Amino acid sequence: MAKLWWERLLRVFRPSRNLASRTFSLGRREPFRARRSRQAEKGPPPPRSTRQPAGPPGAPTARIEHEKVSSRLEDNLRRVREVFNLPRNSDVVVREFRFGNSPAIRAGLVFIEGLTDKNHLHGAVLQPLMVLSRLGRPLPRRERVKMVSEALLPHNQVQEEKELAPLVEGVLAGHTALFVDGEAAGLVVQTRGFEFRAVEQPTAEQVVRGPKHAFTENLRVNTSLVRRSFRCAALVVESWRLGRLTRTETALLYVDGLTNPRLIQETRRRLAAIDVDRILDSGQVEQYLEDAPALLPTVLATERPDRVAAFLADGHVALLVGDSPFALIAPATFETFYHNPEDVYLRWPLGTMLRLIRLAGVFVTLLLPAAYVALINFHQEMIPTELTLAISAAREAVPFPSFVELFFLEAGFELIREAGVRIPSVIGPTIGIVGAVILGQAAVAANLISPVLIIIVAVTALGSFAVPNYSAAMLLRAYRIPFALLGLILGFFGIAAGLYAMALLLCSTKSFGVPYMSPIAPYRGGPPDVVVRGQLTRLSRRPVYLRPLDAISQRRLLRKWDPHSAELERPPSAEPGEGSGPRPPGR
Amino acid sequence: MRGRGPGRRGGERTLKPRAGHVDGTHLAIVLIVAMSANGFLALPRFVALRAGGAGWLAMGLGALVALAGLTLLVTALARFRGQGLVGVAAEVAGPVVGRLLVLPLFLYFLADTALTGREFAENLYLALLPNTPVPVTAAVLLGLAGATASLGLETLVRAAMLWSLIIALFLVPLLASFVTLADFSNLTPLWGPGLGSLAIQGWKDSGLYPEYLLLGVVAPLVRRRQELWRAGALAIGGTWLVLASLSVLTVAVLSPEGAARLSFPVFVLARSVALGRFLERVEAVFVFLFFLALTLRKSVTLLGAAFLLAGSLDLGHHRPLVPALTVLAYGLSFVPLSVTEAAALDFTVIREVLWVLVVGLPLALLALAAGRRKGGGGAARSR
Repeated sequence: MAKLWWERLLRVFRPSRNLASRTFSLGRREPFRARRSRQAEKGPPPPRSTRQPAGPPGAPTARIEHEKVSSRLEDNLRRVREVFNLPRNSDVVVREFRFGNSPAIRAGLVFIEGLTDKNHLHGAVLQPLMVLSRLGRPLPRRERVKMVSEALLPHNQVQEEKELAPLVEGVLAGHTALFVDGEAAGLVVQTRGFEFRAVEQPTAEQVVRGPKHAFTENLRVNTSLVRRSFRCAALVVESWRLGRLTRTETALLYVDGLTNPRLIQETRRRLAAIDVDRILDSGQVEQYLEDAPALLPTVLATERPDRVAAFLADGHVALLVGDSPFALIAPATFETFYHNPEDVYLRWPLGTMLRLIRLAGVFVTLLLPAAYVALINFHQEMIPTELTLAISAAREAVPFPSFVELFFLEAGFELIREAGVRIPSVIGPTIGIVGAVILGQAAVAANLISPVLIIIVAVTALGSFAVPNYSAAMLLRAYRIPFALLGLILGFFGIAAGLYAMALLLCSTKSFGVPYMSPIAPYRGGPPDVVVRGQLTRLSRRPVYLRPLDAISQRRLLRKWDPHSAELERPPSAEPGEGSGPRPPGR
Repeated sequence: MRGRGPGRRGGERTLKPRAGHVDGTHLAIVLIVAMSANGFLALPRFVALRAGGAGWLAMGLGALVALAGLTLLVTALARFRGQGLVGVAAEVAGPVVGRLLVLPLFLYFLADTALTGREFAENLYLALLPNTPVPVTAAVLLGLAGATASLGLETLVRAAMLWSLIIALFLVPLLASFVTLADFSNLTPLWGPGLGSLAIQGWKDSGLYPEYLLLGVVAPLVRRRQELWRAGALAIGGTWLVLASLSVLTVAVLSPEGAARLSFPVFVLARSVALGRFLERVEAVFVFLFFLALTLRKSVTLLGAAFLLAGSLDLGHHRPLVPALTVLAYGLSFVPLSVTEAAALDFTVIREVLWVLVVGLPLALLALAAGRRKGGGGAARSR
């Protein structure tokens, strides 16, 4: 009985946050030889395409799950019409035609108007079949589908399917399904072509130095953008479909032979576990993938292909979800939320300076309002007398306590920010000017707020906008009010308590089994690339916490012309000057 | 940390981790922060009272005694591979006597959690927050310590590593600013009350380092067991360095007599820090330093108490015990009538006899193991 109660108590106190991480950890790095032999035993990598089962009851693909393609064209087209609710469905087109000669063969095309490229369909499917097929020899009686695929369709991607479900799924994805009479198989011809936004500049992660293109609302364009930055055959793009109803195409990207296989396996496991009806954006996938419903973002969202390429090269996995212009990176640690690609593109002192400025922005956003409230209410002795008098004079006519004053001003600022995002871009700047200048001045003139507080809130806002990640910046802005409340109740002691609690939160959070504060806590060594951006020539190792299969990203002595490197590289017996020569074979 | 408690079969008494281990070096950092935190409370006062300007030497001797205890502990643990302190005690002394052996350590951890909380809360009340009731401050402190202990050893270690950087960031400038005010003639005579008294005091000052025994409690969770001695030595040495620096500078600035009159001498010293016209009276900023160090200390002692109790009671997990122990420590912290009484209980009663735990417990375990010919060479019954 006592044991039973103990088990119940244990269940109550076992925090759910660590459940996922308990079941998964990247583990310790195996010795290189062991890895090699294990890889050799394991054989080839897993299949490129892993698909979830067909959709829910009622969804088109669920109704025809495991149903074979019939050899009678009428039966196939009837089933397709049933599945797509024709003729009620107005955008699904079923086109019957004949091709070949002596005798002509009946066939049917199924596609969705608007999702397919009509020119492509006419020029690369219908024209070869209806015109060119009549010019040559009669088609054989058997294996006509194979013949069509190999000889008549000058299209680069054609796939033969024996079941109806993949054909219907292909049609839903914007491709064209081709049925041939007398053949128990169909073809999925890639004719997808719909309107989407062109590749443009990033909106949230702009840089002065570095590539200026961002993801757009097309998965294939997005994967191609990554491939353009990462021209390596080892880059794998695995296809997934998420959402029972939306069947959102999702790509899982990783570098075969570099990314920890356990990380890839874990990502697959989590993706396969997403059993929801809709996935409309990467933001949803991000929340489903997290170790636990955390207060902190544990998956990084980025709109920059170059950043995705950099993370892949370090051994992370990336996800591109449907029409989302944001890629997801996992695992994500705290440092990644204040890093920016520009840190690497600029020289190391400037990169370090930018990081320090952003970190200062983090602390200013979080602590400046709280410190102001604590100073005003508890620690006046810290403020020099002249400044105390100036602040007192400015606050003399204000009827509200400092916290109330701060709260209203912060709320007003957030209101202006939110309004600025939602309203049409033409009048966006106007709102900013009206809100910040006119309302602020009016509020000070009316003695509703003190001028000092306007400075505090403005600097806090600037600090939050210096944080390069949108989610992290929003989170910091959300936390500043609880911190101000702690400053109001307990002064610096309260702020210290808040910081301590926040550190506990940071230290107990994991992203895909990786401690969130890696590589600081736990400290695992490695190159200086957390706060200080080390010299590129010294950043020779990949992050240890990812346990990549290859820990070395670049050779240490890569600057052969550098006198210092040459000195290190030269064999002890070599003559001076030899070190700058060609590297000896095998080194 | 998810641990499995000692089982009933085959003397299997380990906190077997299901996920996560910690490095010995990381544990050493936790212990340095935890053991040094006493220096921010009334420790410099009692050091000045008992050994005058030679307190740093007495603490050094105490560190050597603690190192001897550590060596005994590591030797005892080495005989029982995979076992922690509780498991070793049960193996060598049987389940009942084994529990009795570790009971004083549990009581010390609990008492230290309570007394440290009370002392710090009272000092905050006197120095910084005169309008905030002591029970509120103490509740915040113990609540956070309880939360840390509840999240487990891994989180505690990571938090300590993070905060140790901040603590160093505050502590180094603080100590540097004291140097300018110091009168090192206050440290003479070098031998303080005399060599004999200094040796006795040094022996007793080993009671400043009992937290190293936590290494024995969590030994099954340490990634490389052979690192235990190194981690312990690093912890004891690092702690001596911090405590000696604080003690030397406190006595040098305030004189032994002045330091002996203050219950929160480091805070009084912090008041004297003036970095320029616009940076005067910045002592409130150092509340971060005191707060972080002392909350980590309480987390360590609370976690140690929870581990020991869970191990002794054959419970599978320490976590459900933490809230109960936190409430108990909170209640106990108000048993002393005043901060003076709490500090006196801590430094003149408990720490005077703590050497028994620091040296006696490992010695007893080793002697019992040798006497009963248990353990050694891989320990057939240990895992």
